[in-house]
Amino acid sequence: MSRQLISGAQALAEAALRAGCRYCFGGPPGSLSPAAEYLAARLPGMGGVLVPSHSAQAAISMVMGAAMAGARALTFSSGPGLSRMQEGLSWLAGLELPAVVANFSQGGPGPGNLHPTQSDYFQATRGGGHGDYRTLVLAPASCQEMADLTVKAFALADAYRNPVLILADALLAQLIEPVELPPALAPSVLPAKDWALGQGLERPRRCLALRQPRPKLLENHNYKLVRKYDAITRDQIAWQGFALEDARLLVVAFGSAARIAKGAVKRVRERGLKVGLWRPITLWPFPSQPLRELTRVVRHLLVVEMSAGQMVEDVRLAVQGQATVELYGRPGGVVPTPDQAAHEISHYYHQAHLQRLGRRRGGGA
Amino acid sequence: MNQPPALPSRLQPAPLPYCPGCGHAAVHGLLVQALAELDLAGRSILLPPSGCARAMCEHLEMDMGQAPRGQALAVATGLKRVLPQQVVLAYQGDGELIAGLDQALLAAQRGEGLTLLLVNNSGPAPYGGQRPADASLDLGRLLAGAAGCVYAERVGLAGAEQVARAGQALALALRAQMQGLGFSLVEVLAPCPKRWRMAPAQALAWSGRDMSQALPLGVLKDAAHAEAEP
Repeated sequence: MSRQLISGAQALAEAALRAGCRYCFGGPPGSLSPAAEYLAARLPGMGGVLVPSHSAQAAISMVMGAAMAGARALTFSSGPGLSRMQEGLSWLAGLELPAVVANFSQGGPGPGNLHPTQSDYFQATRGGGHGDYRTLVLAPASCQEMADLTVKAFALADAYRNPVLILADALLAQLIEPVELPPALAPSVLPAKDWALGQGLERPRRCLALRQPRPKLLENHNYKLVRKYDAITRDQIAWQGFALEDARLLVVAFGSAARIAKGAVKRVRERGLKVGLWRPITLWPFPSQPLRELTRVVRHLLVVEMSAGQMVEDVRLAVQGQATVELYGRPGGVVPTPDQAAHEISHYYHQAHLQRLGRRRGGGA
Repeated sequence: MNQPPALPSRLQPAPLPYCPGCGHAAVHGLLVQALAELDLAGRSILLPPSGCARAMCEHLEMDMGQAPRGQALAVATGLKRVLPQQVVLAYQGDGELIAGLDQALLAAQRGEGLTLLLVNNSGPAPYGGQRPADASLDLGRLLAGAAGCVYAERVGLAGAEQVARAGQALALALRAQMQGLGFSLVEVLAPCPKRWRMAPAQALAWSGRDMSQALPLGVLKDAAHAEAEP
């Protein structure tokens, strides 16, 4: 283990190398140039390469080719780039090819801006590509987690033969923190892929294709994917709680917004408000069951998002009406301060009469 | 009694699903022959097209990876970068090539070690036969103009002489890739009788006469000096 002071984007790049990734494709936007430059400099000495592409669509297609060849491959971009990659993500999922794609999302829709947002939540968790498919989505909230989740993303992609998205934003790309880097894996120690193309002369041919199968055959293929997605949902959900013990109000936030929300929770705790933070780390599969279980004791949820309200829909689906769910959403690249978030939390807390409830309960218990 | 000639080992003995007079069947034959001659079948990867000829998935006994429409040369780039020792070949129709022309042009410009087998039958057949305004675009010459393209030739299928030359061109293009020289391409002017609403013989004649008037046959680029090789 080695500890380094690096940016989120660099943590992604270094962790990808350590996860045995030797192929990176893409022409990333400005905020990610340092990571691309880093990889372009490091990869050739490691027997790999960064191929700059003229478009995000080309990048995801190149990733698809490298994945077919059995390699761990990476591309990263920002929101608009991800829009162009959606067809490729659908193909990766359909042909069951592993890949890791990082989205440092920025303001949208349309031309948008270059500021950090979380408004690609729908795009990431629902997918903009065609067909019945799912993409795993991991949401880091620190540079350390960026490194850890990048390693995990490659492992999950290979294990499930499915694309894995890392959903971050421009804030996390440029944030600089100390990171304990994971141990390096040589590509030679990675599990063999007995489906990859071009790796043996004396064996039956391998064909990674879906050639217009009849509806029944495609239905079987899609059900096979569904069983895989069910297994992922059962085995891979991840989340983290903060100050949950006596909480009467739960703030739900992911990624950058969770960092801000944590600061806000600390502020309101100092004023005696019993507020906790719940942060999903996997956005798909969304950790619905653990959140629903929390609503047995907490009946008020406040979702803090840097969007007009997207994850809030998954929160409402998860709690199934067992709790009231309010939203504090800031779209367009506005990053709320912990004080602003604390104000919203405090407002909701008092509006729901949780202070009074607390006194009454406190007196009884 | 004479035995029928044995099938090259990499061609499956299943009936091809093409219309009578379709150029694809002939091109498949040429491809199998070239791969067999160069002993490449076991160390080559084919990207089938997205049009009618994607049926080749079931007929050629070799590794294949299907790419989204227009994306074959980008997918091929990823494959080749990981497996530089493999021969990577993209079989593309003119319609899908135009759909992802940026991918093809830039793969050629970068000089990726790929071979493009472009089967030009003047428009996308699976879409019922619209003849797009870009049907007369000289794709072969356009790609040959890219810096990293080392061998490009346009061939036809009208007559035994043209077919024989087509096979030679394909072998030259594949050899250029095996030698690590860069991007190579063979454009085949192929008949599509159904969409052209012609009888098979008429379509073949049209491809040999009218089509090759607009798109003349011949070597478009030979920076590999492939012709000079013994």
